[in-house]
Amino acid sequence: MSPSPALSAAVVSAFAQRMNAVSAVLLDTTTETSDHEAGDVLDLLVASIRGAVVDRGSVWLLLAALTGALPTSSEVLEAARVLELEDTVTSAIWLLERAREVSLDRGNPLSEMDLVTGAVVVDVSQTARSDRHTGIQRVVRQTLPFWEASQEILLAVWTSNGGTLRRLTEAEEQAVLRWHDCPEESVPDAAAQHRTSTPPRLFIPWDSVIALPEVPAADTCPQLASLAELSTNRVVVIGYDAIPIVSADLRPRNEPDLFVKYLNVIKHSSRVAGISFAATEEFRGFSESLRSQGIEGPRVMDVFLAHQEVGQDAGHGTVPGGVGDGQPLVLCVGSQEVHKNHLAVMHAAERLWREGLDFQLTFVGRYGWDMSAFDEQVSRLQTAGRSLAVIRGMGDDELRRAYQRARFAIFPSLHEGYGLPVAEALAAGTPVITSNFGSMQEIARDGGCLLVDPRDDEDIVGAMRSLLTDDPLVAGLRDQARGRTSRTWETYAAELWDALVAPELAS
Amino acid sequence: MTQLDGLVLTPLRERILGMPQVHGQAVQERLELVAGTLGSGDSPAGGSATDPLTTVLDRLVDAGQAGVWLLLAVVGGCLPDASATEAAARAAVLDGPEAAVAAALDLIDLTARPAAVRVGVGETLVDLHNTVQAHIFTGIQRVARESARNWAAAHHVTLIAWTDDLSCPRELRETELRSIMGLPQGPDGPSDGTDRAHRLIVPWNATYLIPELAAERPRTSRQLAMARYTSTTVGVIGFDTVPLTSGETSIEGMPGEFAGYLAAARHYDRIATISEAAAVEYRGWRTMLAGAGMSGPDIQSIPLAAEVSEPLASDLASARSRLMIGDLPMVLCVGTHEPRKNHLSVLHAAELLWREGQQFSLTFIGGHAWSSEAFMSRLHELQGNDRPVETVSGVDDAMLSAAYRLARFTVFPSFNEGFGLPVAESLASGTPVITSGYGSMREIAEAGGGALLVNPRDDHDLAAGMHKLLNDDATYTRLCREAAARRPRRWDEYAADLWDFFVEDPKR
Repeated sequence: MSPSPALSAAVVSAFAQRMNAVSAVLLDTTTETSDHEAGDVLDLLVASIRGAVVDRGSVWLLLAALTGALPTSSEVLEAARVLELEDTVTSAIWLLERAREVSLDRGNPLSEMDLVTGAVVVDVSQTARSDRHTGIQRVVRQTLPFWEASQEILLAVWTSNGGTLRRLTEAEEQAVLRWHDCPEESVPDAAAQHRTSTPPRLFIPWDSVIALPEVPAADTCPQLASLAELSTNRVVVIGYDAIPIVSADLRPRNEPDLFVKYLNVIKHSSRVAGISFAATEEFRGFSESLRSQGIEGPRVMDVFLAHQEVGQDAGHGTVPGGVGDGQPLVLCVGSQEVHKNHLAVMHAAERLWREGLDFQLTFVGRYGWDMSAFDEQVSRLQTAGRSLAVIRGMGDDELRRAYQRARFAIFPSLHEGYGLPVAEALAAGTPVITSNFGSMQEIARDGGCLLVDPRDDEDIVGAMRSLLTDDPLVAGLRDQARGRTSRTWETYAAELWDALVAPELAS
Repeated sequence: MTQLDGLVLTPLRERILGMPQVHGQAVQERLELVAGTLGSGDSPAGGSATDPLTTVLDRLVDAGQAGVWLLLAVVGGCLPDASATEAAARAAVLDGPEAAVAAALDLIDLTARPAAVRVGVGETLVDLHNTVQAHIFTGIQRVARESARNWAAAHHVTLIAWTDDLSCPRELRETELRSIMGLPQGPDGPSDGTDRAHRLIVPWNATYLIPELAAERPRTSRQLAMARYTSTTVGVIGFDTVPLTSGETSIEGMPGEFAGYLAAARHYDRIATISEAAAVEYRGWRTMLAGAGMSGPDIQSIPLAAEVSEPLASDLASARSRLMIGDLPMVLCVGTHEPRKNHLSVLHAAELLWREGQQFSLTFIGGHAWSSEAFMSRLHELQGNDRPVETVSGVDDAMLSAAYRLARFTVFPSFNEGFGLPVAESLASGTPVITSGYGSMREIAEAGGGALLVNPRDDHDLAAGMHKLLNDDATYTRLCREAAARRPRRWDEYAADLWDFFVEDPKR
């Protein structure tokens, strides 16, 4: 089946627009080029790029315009080698043939594209389309409104085929910048994108800074790595943690395969800002190891996350069942994942229940990966009549009240980039038992915590016993927690800009 | 049953008595083994008069998680992973040592004949599981075999593999042992290739050495628990961290397996890396452990050996007729065609030179690998244009060592190598090499010369290097002289250095 004439005309028109868009940079001309025929512009571009030693950045840009998809590095290298060996006509034919193949895979042959130069592009693909509000989404939604208000930024998401970047729809922009105004269940989904009357513009960044405040989807990592390595763009990254590599025994089997694709983006990035000293050390270690392959690696620095109380002070609102039924409450917040060490928490609780202590243990968090042992233990203890609750979903305001009601929170995780629940509990004036290393220890440094070795059950039992039985100790830690100064998201956003983006704009 | 006279029939005893007799008997023997192992150095093992279950229950009380690990390993006949050890240890704390014994009995497969088990107390165990399975020797297996051979010749060591399901270490079969040691098989051929039962080995207070890359999850998760919970010290050879640091060039699935190995390695004692570049990689990884609150193993670089055998005149003659085109200088590139080896750049540089009119042939020796399609398709295009280029696979050692000597020079512009064996082998053969100007390849080059260093990410730098070694006789002769003057490092020297680090280290 051959394409209809109307479709062909649309493809040719979009192709011509894209060629003209990049010719402004590649042909180094100030003349108005938008009237050129597509084929003529392609010939001009190929003739100007090809030669004995071809500039790979120019090839990257030409391929992006040809296909409507940002190229991978092997696509760029292959094309550059052809352009070094073949004449203009042969090269142009080869490029068109190759462009057709890539277009079928992830291209946008019907779309016009803007060339965006000298911009700060922020990739928010996950948050813009997610109805979750934990971890990374929380950081993005708290930080970017401050950037938006004080700096010139361009929010971007990847097209659904992973081909290139585009601007946001209104709904996506609201999900990133004005999350708390979002009506329930209004988070844009992929299907909704196609119903938008005027599709958002696609663009190619050039001479720009690409900021990655999220861990990008694995299928966009090869294009991001190529952009970072071969184009004139610079990539800067928030580094959350390297748990999939360092603590793979506690995570899903396929996670490292995806994570190393992200590390390949980081390999060619300019800067990484770790969210804690521990997270920074993880990315610093990776960066240093790159010396053995002749790569300098990104500059790595720490910009400590904000820690503010979660939710609104809603006074005496409701609390869900399982929180505050009269007994002293021990609160354990965090998605139910193996590395959160919840089995040790339950073991310690059972020891203390057997000792005759009276308290309630409540887990709050989403269901995570492979929690069969967790579920089994919960049902065993509940069957035995223990005061144990698991709450899978809780709004911010409810969570705030739960923290306030708890005698203490417990978070003896085996590995965290930050440990948000520790900071949230302390901000609510609630003491915390947490791990004596890494980011958790860093947060605890300003008071309000008992530190334990999370790999030593006796240590956890001892700390819980102390906080359940020693009222003056709890009161002292509570005072310490209340005396802590909070660190605002506004401060974090400003420091992050200064560390990651400003130096790249200046250079 | 008489040995149970006078004992209270607890649920545990009842359960053991209810087992098929062969398993009940095996449990009794294994409990005796646990009792004896936990009691050694203590009071006498109790003698045959005491019931082993009673002794085990008694001795588990003070033996902690290590004791529970030993119980699970010996009674279950498989090394437990960390979560199994942790669960049984917690059960013992809550409900007494009987709960741990019950967990161990749960591990027994009542449908299979129980294997004989022994505890390798204080032994030096050498894990060669992949190496004994291999029919062709990759670089890693060569290193493992040479290390094991030299250790076995000089010291008392026990060579081990794992059961087929990777649940427990076992003794080597006679044929496996002969193959590793390079001894001829018995006169009747492989005499015990049949499945004669070989004893399982449970390491205890042992020195456990892994000279190969052990990355299979069932094995690494058990090695992790052994290193974490028991006093056995573990030493491994660190080849590289390519699946982590050049993951984009790794075959799907490898990073996941490799990360499982790294998780276990956090608990190991020593990593001997095969180059300083690999040590830089492993030290970078060790820095990453901060987030998990671990300090990681000692890391020391112990460079590999690079012995090449002198080819016979007949090998040289047959290699010449197979590989060379008359007197045309041959450029040799050894290695599999995976993206990391950068063979597309070699093809491009060669084509640039051929178009200039340079006269030479280009020979690749190495098998197909993951994602070699782009290489093969470009190779076929060039062959279609009558370029003198080919790739040869399935080459034996004699042909390879002859090829090194027949080549005018070799090229090895890899993006990332733990060592770069073809660089060392080319130089040991007296043949200059063009290789990457960083990492392990640079280290080898600088330890005696004979190499021309280039930037492997710049096709034109590689082409210029090749042009130089084809045309600049002064440079070429100097590099040949430097290569010929190198004294190749021997495998016995390498193995001895490893032994000093793993076993004789004064810090022990």
